[in-house]
Amino acid sequence: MTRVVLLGSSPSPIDSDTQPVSPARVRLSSFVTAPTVTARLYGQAAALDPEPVTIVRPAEAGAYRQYPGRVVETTDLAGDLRALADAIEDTTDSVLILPTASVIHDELIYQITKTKRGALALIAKEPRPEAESAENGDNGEGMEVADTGESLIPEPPIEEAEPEIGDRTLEGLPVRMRAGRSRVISVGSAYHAVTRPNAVALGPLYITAKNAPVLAEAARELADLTHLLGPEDDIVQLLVLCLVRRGVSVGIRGRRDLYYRRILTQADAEEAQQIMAGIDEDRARLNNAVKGADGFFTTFFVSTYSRFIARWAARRGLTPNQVTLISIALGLAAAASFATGTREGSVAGAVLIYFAFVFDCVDGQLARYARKFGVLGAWLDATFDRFKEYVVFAGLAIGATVAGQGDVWTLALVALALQSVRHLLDFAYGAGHRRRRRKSVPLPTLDLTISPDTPLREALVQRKAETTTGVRRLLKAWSRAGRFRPVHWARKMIVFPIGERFAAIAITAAFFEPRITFLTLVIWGSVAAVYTLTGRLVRSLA
Amino acid sequence: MITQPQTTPVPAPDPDEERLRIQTARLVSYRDDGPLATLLRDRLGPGLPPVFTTLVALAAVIALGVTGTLDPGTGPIMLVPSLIVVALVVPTIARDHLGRFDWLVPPLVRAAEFVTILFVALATDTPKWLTFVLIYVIGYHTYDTVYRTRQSIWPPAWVFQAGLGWECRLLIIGAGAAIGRLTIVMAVLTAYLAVLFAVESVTSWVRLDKSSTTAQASDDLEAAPEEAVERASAEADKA
Repeated sequence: MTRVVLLGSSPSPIDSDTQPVSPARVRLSSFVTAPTVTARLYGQAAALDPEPVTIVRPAEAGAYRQYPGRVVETTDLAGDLRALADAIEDTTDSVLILPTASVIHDELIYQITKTKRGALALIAKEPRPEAESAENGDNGEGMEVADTGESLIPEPPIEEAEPEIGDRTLEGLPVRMRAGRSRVISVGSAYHAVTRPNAVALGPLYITAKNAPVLAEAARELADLTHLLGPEDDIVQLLVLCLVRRGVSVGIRGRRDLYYRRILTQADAEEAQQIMAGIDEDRARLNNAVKGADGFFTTFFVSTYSRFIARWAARRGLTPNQVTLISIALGLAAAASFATGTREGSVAGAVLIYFAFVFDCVDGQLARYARKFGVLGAWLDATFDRFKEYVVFAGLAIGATVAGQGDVWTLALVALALQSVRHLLDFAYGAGHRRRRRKSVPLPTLDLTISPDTPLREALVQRKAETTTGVRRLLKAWSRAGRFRPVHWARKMIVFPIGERFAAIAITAAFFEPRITFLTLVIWGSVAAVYTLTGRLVRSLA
Repeated sequence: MITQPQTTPVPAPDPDEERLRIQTARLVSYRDDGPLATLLRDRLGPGLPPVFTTLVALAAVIALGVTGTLDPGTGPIMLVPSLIVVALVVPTIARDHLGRFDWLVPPLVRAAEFVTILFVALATDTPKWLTFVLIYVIGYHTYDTVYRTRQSIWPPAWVFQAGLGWECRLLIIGAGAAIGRLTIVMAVLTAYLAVLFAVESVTSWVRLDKSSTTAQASDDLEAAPEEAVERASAEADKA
């Protein structure tokens, strides 16, 4: 479950003199039933929390009382912060905070609440100057280093930049946040200065139950300091400020292929509807069902179209487990074809094993797309992937014997043993390498009463220096080299992931004899074992 | 039944200690120790360092294998590789497996088991397809353990005992080869293990209270750890 908190107060617009209209009076006429912004948002919130808490000004409270949940009336920002603290401080669920003026895709809410991070803010970054963004794609120059946020942006270096109270705006919000590559580095307000701000928090903020008391406590403290803040300061940005200053790592994400906007006027609503009409939410959901970080073969020769099979299967009402069964049947048919020992059989087997692999990808994508996850389904999928692969080994070995190409069972045995041990190496490393009695170095904290974020940055620099010594420096350089695409894909191929294995079996079996297939599997597998083992041993030293 | 995640309800365990305890439990379950190892666990004092000792055992078996010492005519010598592995690796069970390189232990133990079985079986005229099936069945049990524990569902302790563990399996194979009856011994062992693991898996899944466990969208049981890390950082990079 997730606790939903809706925030009614919006900051005073600073880049125009438009007077915000209550979202309860803005209609989304192009949507089915033409709901108001508020009605739509409550409908969306109900899927997460049947009793959302809404914090609004007394004048507007009436419009919210018709919906389920609790309405808290507050008269100022300090009241908002305290009411929010009350709403979340003893929750055992994660918390999703949204402005009441939000127009947001269901899928975006889903993706935000499924994050693995302890805190996540939806942000928009200021567009960078052209020269900078041009080089972003290919090399690491000018990029920010992942988790420390040390900026490498060239001239003038950020180390020499002074903290500032940002006066630029983006989407009607003051640009007073510094976002790094993966998380928020620093946040400001009319009082809190930020070194080189580059982003705004759009509105949605997600935190896990563990961070809720931290946020509540900091929000209460900030409530006593609101005389320092300005009318343009947005409460969500202030909440992120609270989290960051308390040393919570707040992850960031953009809208990507989905839409979010705060609606201030009916004109905003018309524009939002027009943009949303041009976005295929179902397609975004489908794309999100394809898991990232797959191997080269899977990414370019399977995932490019397997998602459409997954969508088709979902529309036909097929369950992921049924797709797994199709995949098993194809795998068995492939093994039987290989066992004939004929050229035709080998080619047919190659095609069948390819499609067995395609359907193996489809079942997972279908489960994520249709949101039908089960422990049994996950287990069946994984277990029978192994079964398919090894039954094909047996089919090939039988085929070689039938065709009189000699006894390749020994090679089959070696390939089987090697692959099993290699998998166990993955699993055991995953289970064992994270230990460390030495705890990870926490992010620095900074008191809310201090204006400039310089101490925070200095602490981050020091933290980086402490955590990147010797081997770690090597590992950092190694992961940076991975931003170069050919290096990235070469590294993914060398570990011989499942897609490459199935492709290697299909291609070598179709064109050569099983002996070549097993030799390929054993040699490539050995290279992969040495490669991954080396990397992991080094990481264990770090 | 496989419902109980092996978390004994101790009042408010320290999360760090708890994490380490689960880590030990994971690695030990991946090793797949059987009744003999369990029996001797508390009687062997502090035990031997697992990574080094297992490496020595593996090297010794490979040395025996490649020098052609294993010969079906010689009888008792066929039991030697199994005895070496058992004698060296069983005393490592007492350790907590929290050392810097101790994640190497389960794959090393499995490699030692497989290499021993391969050398012994290939030195005799045991059908290779039978050996293939045996290796698959043992591998299935390991995969099964991993894929369940990765979803916090722990197989019952008795499966590991009934599955004989790597040490008893090795002794049975070695003894079978020593008396010159490896084919029949391996056939019976394979059939027994196949039926045991298959029946246990089916009954466990049938009986499992599915509502007591929740699967996650992000669960990928097969993912290598590096992939999981990459996925997590890709989530941020796309922002």
